[in-house]
Amino acid sequence: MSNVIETHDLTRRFGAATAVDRVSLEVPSGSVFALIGSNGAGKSTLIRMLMNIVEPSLGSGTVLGQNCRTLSGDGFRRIGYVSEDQEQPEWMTVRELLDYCRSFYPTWDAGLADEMTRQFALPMDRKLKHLSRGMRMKAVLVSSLAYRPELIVLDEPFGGLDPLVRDEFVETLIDRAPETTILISSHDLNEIETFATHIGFLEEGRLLFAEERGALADRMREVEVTFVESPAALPSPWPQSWLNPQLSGAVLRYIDTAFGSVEALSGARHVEYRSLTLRAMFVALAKAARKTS
Amino acid sequence: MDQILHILKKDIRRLRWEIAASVLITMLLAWLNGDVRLIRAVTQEEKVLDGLRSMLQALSVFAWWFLIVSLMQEEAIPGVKQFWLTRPYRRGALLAAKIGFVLLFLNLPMLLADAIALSRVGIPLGGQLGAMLWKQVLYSITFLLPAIVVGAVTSGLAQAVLAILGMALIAGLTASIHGNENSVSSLRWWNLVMSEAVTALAGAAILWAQFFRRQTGYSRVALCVAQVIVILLVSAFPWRITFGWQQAMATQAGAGSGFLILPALERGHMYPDVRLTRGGPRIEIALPVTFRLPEGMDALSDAFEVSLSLPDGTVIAADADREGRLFEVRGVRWLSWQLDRQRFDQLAGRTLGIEVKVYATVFGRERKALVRAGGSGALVKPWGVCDAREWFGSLRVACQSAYTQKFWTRVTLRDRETGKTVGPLRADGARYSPIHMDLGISPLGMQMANFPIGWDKDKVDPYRLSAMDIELSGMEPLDHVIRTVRFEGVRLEDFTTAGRR
Repeated sequence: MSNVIETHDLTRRFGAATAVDRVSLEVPSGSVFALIGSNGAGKSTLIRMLMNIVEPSLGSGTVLGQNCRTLSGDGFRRIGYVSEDQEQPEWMTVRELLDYCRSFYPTWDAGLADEMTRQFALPMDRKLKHLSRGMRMKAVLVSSLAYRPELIVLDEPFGGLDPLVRDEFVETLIDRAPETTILISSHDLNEIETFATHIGFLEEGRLLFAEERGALADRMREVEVTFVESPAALPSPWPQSWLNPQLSGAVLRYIDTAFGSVEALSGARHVEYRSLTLRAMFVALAKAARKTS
Repeated sequence: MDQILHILKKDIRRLRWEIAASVLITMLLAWLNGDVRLIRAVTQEEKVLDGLRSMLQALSVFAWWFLIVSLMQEEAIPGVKQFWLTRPYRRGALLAAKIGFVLLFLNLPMLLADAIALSRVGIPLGGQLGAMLWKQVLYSITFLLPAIVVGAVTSGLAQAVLAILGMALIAGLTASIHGNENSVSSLRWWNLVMSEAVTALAGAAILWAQFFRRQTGYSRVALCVAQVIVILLVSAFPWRITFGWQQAMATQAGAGSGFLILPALERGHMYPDVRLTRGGPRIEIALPVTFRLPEGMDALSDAFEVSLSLPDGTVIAADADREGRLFEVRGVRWLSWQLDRQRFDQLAGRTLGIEVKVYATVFGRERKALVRAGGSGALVKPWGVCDAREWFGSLRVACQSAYTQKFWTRVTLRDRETGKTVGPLRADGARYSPIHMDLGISPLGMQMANFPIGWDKDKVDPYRLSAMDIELSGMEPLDHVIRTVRFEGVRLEDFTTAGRR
């Protein structure tokens, strides 16, 4: 599987602050790559560097085989980009927006655009500035998907949307997923969990890991160990694969990231394993990263 | 090309009301600029129209800037949130669409406006096309390009207003730090050429950096630096260098070789109308001189350097870089310059030597034409449309031409029946410049002379106005020369009433 996006040590500094720190990333073709991380982790900056909106301070990256520093003009005919805080030509009606965008894209599929506008029940003759946030995002999504882009980049697309709109949004993306590659950054882990194939975790500008979601789910589990009697202290140092260990009486809970041997703990009476949701993984990783930092 | 038209059509749809307002203001202004009555607004209606014209002049610049900044910010370049950044916009097409818009809705209406104003005055447009197009180049660099650049380095009208205020502040600070001491008005054409060239080059470089590299930080710094350079060039470029280039570009080098300025103290010291200089505590000193010039030629000064020395030759004051005047009253020449009152008070009664170095332009190739007083304006080539009418106790002779003329004119009134003459007076309004650098909004230039009406010897008899022929005599600039004239053993107080309070 070839990579649609590749970065090598991509870095962006704003004065003394490093927003993105030596990120090396690969987004395989056909994947739905979810970029997760807490606020200020550098997700949007990373995406903006990939889209050549922000210039990298160091490192390199390619998007659809093109150097991201030179991505412009016709290069965007193959990319659909939607961001929650993107400024749109608010004075246009939905129809005008779609008409205006259409001539930029030779691959514009009018049938698909009609289908999506019907599906979203978009009021074609209303100006964008008079639409609700959800409707506006749908209009932008239509304008970004109707030309069947090879790569869809979504930067926090669900912010401020009600659950119904989110569902419609996600359904549309799932429909498109088989024929495209999607890079999505979001806080909405429940939505992402339904369709992401790959997960990348950014914390304080650094990419802590990026791997297939199945492998991640296999690798991360919550472990609850019940001891015969309360241990006076836990062994130190902890294995590096254990995250956020908490001792409460005779019960020890932690997130195991490498399926270490629990039975080796002396005095363990009962061990229970639970699979993790993406949200639980995110919280555990974020907490561990903050403790480390 | 498709993309250029596509973006252009979108911008037209978006800014149609702003376009309409800008074009309407431009056309109204053109209509009023071409109203010859407003040369001498006398009636209430004319005064109202003249006030409206002044207002529209300011409003037009505001409307053009608003339209251009709005246009540029439709696809604002600074920032990270604009939708167009991730759409397949070709940067060259985007820039071309913006320039096309400016040409279509600013330059073209301005060109039409100039044509309307010239036609209304009665100046035929044939033969003016070259000058009209050159004027568009100057309009574009002076008024439009700065607005395009401001629009390209800002995002939102608030930012644009701040940028304009910042530019004004930089201009004010630069000018106040350096002053305007090196500027000589008759030699400012070169300063303007340089400032226009810097504006054009900096503007082009900033637009390239913004549209093709999105280097907003560097572009903003470049804008400030260019602003400082332009102000310094206008206010501080040494005028002697300009004069040297002017000499090198003379249309007939050597034509002024026979020109001499000689002291004429035997004529008496005192110029009859000596006055305190307007606007400051400076004393005007008028020295009597005569010219030696070949027949059919005349000379005007561009700049003076004056030095005062004691009888032993010690120079005690050098008042360089001052603008002076070489003028003629009733056939008598005077060389007039100004001195600080404080210095004058120190030196007024002392015996001095005065050396004046005159940087002068010599004119020749005289041509003449006659105009009748009263009636409607008549086309008099190459002066334009000329007429002569009463205006607040004087007879005003005015010629409106396409743009500013670079030949200067003397006007003489001659009674057809009695043969009596009044004048000649030198008409104001001509500006010598090897390169046409008229940066005003109106396409009309005007040369004008006012003859006082009355029964005195040097005035126009009010009962003979209709019998007056007006003789225009125009001369072209041919050569530029430097001449020195010395006055030995004189006292400053003998040349001005200011010393005799």
